[in-house]
Amino acid sequence: MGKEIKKRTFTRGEKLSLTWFLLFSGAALAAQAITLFGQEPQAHPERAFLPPFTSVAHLLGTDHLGRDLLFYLLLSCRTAWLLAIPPLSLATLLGVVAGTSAAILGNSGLKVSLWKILVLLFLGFLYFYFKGAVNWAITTYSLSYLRYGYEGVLVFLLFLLWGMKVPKGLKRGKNEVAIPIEGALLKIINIWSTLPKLLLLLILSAFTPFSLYSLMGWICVTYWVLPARIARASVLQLKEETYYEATRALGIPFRKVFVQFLWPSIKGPILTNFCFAASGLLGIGSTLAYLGIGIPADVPSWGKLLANARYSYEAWWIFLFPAITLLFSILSLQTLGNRFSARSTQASVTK
Amino acid sequence: MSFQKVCLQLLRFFLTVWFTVSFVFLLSQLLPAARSPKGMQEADAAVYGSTNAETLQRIRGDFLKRMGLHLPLFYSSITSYGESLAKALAFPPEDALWATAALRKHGASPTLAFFSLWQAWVKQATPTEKRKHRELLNAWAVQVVATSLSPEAKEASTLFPAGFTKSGSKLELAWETLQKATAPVYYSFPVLSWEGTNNIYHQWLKSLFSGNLGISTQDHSPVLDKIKPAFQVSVLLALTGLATALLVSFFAGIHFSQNPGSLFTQVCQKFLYILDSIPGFLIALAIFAVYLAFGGSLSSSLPPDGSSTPWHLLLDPALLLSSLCIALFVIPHLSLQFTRGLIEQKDRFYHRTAIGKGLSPKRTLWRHALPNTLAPTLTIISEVIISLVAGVLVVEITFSLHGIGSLYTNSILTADYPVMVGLTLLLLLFRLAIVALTDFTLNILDPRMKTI
Repeated sequence: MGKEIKKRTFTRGEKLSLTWFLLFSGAALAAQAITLFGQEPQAHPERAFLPPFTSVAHLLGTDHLGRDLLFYLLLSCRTAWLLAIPPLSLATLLGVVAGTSAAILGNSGLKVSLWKILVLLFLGFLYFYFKGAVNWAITTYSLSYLRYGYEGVLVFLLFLLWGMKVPKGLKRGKNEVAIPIEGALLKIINIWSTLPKLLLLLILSAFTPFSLYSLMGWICVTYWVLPARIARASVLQLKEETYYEATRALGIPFRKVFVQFLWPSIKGPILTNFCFAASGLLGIGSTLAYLGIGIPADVPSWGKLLANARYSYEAWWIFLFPAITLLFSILSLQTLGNRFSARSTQASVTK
Repeated sequence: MSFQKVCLQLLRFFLTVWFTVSFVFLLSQLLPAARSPKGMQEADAAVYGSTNAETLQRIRGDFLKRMGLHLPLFYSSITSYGESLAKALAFPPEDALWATAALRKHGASPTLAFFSLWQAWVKQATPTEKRKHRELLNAWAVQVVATSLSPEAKEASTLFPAGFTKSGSKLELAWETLQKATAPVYYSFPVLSWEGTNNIYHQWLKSLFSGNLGISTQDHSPVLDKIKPAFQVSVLLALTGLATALLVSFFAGIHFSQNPGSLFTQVCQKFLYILDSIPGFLIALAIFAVYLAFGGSLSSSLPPDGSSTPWHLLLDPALLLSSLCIALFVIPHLSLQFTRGLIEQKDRFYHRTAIGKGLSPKRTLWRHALPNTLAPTLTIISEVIISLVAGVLVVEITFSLHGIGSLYTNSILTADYPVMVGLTLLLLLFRLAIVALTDFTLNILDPRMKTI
């Protein structure tokens, strides 16, 4: 009973894209290993601007500082891969969690007792009021072992508050407050998508010193919005299905509901968005390197090479080879994204 | 649209503007090096680390006073009771640092006793002695304020500043009493105090209203003077590119929707899809490479005697190339969306009715389908204008034009925070204006989209 979902065969374009993407990831991994061993592109100014295919040591030629172009391109693969895949994966995870919880809980799903909120606010007020005094006491009587004791007491009280049941005498009337998760998420998404991503990343990168890892963090902070939107829209639609109602009636725990019922349907759009966002990120990461912002000067990158190619167009290989690798990586990711989006029209739990 | 609703919309708009401005203010205060002069951030400690603490403090204080950053942040501030007491007692500025530290740590009465003896001693001391002792006291104060909890630091903070033992014994005794006393616990309780309009936020808003966006830390010229000429270049560039793109997309969209099956349409659409996915700076570089390969140069053809009309400015090769690049950034998205919108209109009933009643396809398109696509197209155009800013940035860097994009990038690279904050503010306000304009235009054009 039940048909098998026919697995679509890979077209030639998709096979090429997958091969290129695997090569790209492999190059990034190799470059990470090379970087861990402390190898860097060696600059030999006497060998600057060697044309490609003329010497065995420098197959693709050298750049304006005499660094081997092939080696530099390999190390740039690592930068590009690190700026695209890991932050995007984390951002997609966060976005899916946020979007799903907003869709499932809505504006009235999460109810907290009013009494607990009032006690929480009171505890917060007490903490900030006496913080100065506690620091004074610790300094004056040199009780440095109690440095985090105050915070520890607060955390302990918060746990107590979370776990305890509301006393019966206070349970009179309507004293539960609904936390509007969906409204809050929509507002945050609204605010976060005001600026184009390049500008947002430009502004955010000014808050921390330039480094690869801080840029990865900012990319993660910028790119969680679209997965959240997609997840929320899809789950809102799926909530209306009868099989979802059945899971609620049967009391199936949400973990299982998500993995077995929700995820197969939202998998398509989310993966498509991941691929297209990754291709966009390769472009934006290279643009940021081209502008010289966000990435320190000693980190190899395609954008940096292209920025230097501007000054010496006679050395066409410094422009052509990074441009080709960048273009192929972007196009391969887009082809893979197209494949996921075409496939998603078939995938559904009921088939 | 009733008067009441218009008023409400205007109020909402101004509220949004105020929120945006306050948000930019918050960002500007959160920037890492907003409160120390250039070159004196923590990262540069190796350079100035051996200078004594008092000089550093004095330089920082001067800088903050010049920038108006010594004022409280907001209309009201939360300080400890001890600090508010010290402010109320109004110690003279050269003694304020160590007197405040002494008051917060050891209480009011011992500090005041020591202070009166100190003032008496100062009257009869030589300038060298005065300076040396002030230095010692300030060093002690800096150490105390750092509130290190290690036992060695606590030991050091109770020792006399070296050399004090030589001066008058009354002063010494008063210092001993001071060190033995401790301030009562309620000196550390927070207190809300009203600062009035003399705070950074208010002064910043006031200067914004008078058009003063601050002074650039790079070349000390007013920020607005730097932004104005850059703005002219960028606007010229963006408008030229946008106008070209709108024209091309319009006619392309009409042609694609009328002949969807032709080879030309399919080839063009494939080409536009690929162009859409190429990063902007690659397109700019490619165009630059082709231009240089054909023997062009970026030196402008302005007449040497300085009489350049706007027409001359427009014929500048850098400007023309950049407008071409901007047009190429925008055309794919715009034409593909416009085509999609027109094709969508073809499935509507009114279109079929018109064709069925004998109206020519051309007339149906121009008189009926186009006005209906106007509303979604306007939304897309407003999105495109906002994303144009990023394209302008890339293009200006490539062709070395001195526009807003170059200014922004340079201000980030040289940590020129006033210019950065000013430009961010302008960009956000620009975006707000575009969105409000689009909403307003849509309300007028399409009565179905009345959102108020």
